[in-house]
Amino acid sequence: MGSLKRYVVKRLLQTLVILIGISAITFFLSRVAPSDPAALWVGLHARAEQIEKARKELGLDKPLHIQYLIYMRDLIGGRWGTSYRTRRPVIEDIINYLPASMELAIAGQIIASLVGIPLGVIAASKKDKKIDHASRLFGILTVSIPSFWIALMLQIFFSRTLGLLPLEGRLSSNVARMNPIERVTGFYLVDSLLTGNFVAFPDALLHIILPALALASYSMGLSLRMTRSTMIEVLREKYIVTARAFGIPENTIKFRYALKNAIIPTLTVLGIVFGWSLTGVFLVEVVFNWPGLGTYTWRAILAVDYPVIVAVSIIAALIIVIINLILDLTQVYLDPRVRL
Amino acid sequence: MTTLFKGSGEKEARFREIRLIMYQITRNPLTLTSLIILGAVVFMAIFAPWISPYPVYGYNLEEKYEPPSLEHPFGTDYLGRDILSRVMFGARLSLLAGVAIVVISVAIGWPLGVIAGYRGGIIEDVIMRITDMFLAFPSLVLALVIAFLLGPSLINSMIAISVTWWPWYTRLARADTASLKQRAFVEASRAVGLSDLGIMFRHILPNTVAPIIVQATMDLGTAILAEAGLSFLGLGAQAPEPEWGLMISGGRSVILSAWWYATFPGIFIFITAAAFNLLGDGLREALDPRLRRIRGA
Amino acid sequence: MVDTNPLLTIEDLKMHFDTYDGVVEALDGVTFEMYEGETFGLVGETGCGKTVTALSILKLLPENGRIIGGKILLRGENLLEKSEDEMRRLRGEKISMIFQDPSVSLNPVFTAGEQITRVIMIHQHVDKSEAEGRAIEAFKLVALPEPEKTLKSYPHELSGGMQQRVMIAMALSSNPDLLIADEPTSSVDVTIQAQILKRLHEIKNQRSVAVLLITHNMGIVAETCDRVGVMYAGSVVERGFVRKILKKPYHPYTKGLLAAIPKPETRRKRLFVIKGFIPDLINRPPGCSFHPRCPYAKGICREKKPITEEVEPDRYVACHFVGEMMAT
Repeated sequence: MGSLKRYVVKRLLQTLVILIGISAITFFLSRVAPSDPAALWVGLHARAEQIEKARKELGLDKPLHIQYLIYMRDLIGGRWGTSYRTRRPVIEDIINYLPASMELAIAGQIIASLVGIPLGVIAASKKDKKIDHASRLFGILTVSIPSFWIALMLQIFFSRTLGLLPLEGRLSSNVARMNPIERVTGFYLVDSLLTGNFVAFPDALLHIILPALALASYSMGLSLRMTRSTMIEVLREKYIVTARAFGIPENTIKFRYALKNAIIPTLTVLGIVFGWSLTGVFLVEVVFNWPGLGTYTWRAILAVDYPVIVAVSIIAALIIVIINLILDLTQVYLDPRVRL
Repeated sequence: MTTLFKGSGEKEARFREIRLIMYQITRNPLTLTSLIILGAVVFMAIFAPWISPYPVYGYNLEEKYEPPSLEHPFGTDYLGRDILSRVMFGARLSLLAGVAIVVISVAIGWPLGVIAGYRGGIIEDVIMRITDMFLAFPSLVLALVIAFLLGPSLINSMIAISVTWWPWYTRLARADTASLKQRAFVEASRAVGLSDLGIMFRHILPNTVAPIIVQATMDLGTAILAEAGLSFLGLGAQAPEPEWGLMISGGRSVILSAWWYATFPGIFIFITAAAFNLLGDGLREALDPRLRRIRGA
Repeated sequence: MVDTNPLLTIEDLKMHFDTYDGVVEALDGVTFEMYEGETFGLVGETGCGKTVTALSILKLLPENGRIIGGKILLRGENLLEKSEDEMRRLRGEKISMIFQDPSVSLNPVFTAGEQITRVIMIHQHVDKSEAEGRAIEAFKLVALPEPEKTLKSYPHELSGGMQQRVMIAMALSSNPDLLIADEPTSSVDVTIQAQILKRLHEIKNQRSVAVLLITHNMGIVAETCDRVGVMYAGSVVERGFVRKILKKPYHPYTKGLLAAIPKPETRRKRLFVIKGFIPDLINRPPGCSFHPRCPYAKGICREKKPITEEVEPDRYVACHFVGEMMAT
């Protein structure tokens, strides 16, 4: 297993390089912007001296590369700056808002996989028959739907017309007041169960359904298409014919022999899909007023809140990179051919 | 993938292949439908000034927020403008944006990928590291930031999205090039003294066309979605442009009372994106010999 | 020498593929029979339909393949009339097949042990540990050096020869009556080839398995087979005992095949080659499918397909002028 360790270390180093690159990009982007951060910090009606003072405080008078080094030093030290808008440390805000986004993204991913993957398997095994064409059409149509639009449509239909589901937010205001969820992980669904809060749980569940569906619409189609093409490739392989020649039942072939081979590239797919949904989360959060990183970042962008923008970019990249790393490692673990 | 070979004496083979592909495409009912839909959208976009029942700008406050009716099939917006007409004009913006984004991304990403795949070594490493960096970035966030820094506008959002998209083509092209590099005709070209640049452009580039075209066609749909998303967030097209995403954003505040405002532009985004995706899918089927449909006896 | 009741009878098997370019008439009336315990060689050029015939026996044809006529009788029962479920039970149990390239025929993500035990469990209805025991027995049968270690190995960790032996072990594990071997030695080198064939021969005698050996290599046929069927363009043009056919081939194609084998004593400077190419199976030439390349072809050959006649006891030839062929 020594070589596995080496592989992990190599990947981590690559990740580090990428993260440094990202942080550099965001940093320099933010510093070359037209607006003056110092002025923003102090506020619209500040006087010149106040702006100067702020500039010194924020370290904005130093040369750019020194600023970058200070910035990196702070980054590593966990001092990610203070939001110009909320006046709180960015780290604090991120810790507050991240779980909401993750919960939504994961919920969407689960729905998407539960629908997309089995449909993809079925479509592949009944290739070119009606079910295959229907599934493929379904897949193509779902990836063509604008997520923010379907979010709005869902709101209209389920909330206004049917009155079944709440319009927005994570929790109804009275539940939030009367039965607040004690924070363990930040995931409302998990925490409410863990703390035995059975009033809040169904409420949180109802609130997450629509946004998760909106998010899942695109991922569903993507998962379906990729699972299908992977399965088709696998089902074409000679060892599948051999398995049939030995009398192995068709279902076993599909779900054990073929799937295990298809899982490996499927994981890559899931990684890509999840990475995408982290951006889709953005739009959906805005529509549903979901108190997550997406809405937070959006407001930050509109308010030219640089520390937030930079920090969130890095966090998002970090998440994607880590997830891909985990998926790659899982692949290595699952595929005996890649024993390094 | 079929290889559209460039080289002397292969002209007839190429023509035959292209005709075969065209035939395959038109035979598939879904692809045919998508072509028709796209044709309709393009037609609408080009001839909007002539066929739209109302002007796209201006206002008519007496007809604010009218629900769909015979005079205004899609209703009116907050300034009393006819939404159908604005949707028609919006097709121009979306199509333009989609094409521009894809063209720019391909123009940057494709050659970079070929160079990376062909040259290998340090050049490949550097290019791929940069590509990975961009790919690790959540594209929407990056695009938002860039669009914001450049100043929100339709053109800037197109640039912003392209900047986040080119890496996909680089990856695609590089993988394709890497496998093409092994093939005999590359050896042969080198043996007759063709320079690296020559090989790359005369032989490798044309042979990587197929997957790029497929990806690009499907991406046209996604590009339109991305651009609409940026406009929805306020970082793309600005009022009073009749951009579909922008209209949805405007419709959002009155979603519960004037549902038509946000609904119809979205339907068009969906239809257009779906048509491009279907077309791309059909192209992919047509270009992949193994996936060709089996003709019955 | 032979029983009167064949184990396997293939009667006038016809089979088509639907392709984009048209209907490929792959099998145009294949007829032969096999007896218990014998080794029958099905020999012919690439594309003549040997593999397709084998796949038809097990009904493992791809989606676009259709059997349009004929019978496949296993001890009198027509396999073509059996349901997929019934066929599934036959496969690996009564009839087994091993394929040409073992490196792609074994599932790369499961160990050899997992694959063979699953086959044993399915057909012999035993539990896992019992199956593992039988698997080890099977591995010993095919002379795999370290059976327990092989059990835990992944296919890519085994050499080509070992992979092939694993396949053979799997195929023989449930004691089938018929083993179909499709070019079993084309992917391994010559020394391994010899070993495998020898082992196969020994097993065959021990277990009394009939072997349908599909190959393009006449040499292998000569060494290992009792009877042989020569295939050309989708039908069997000549069949009978190997020794007799080798000594005196009757069909022009068989003559050509044997003449093409370079022998040390031949003094010709040029290698003999059968002129022409295999026919287009979508647009078959009328008459005898071999006539465009046949040096003896005359008028009727271009018009009518020849019927297969039993010219001697258990010797069948399909040629209009077989009488003259026998004389030369």
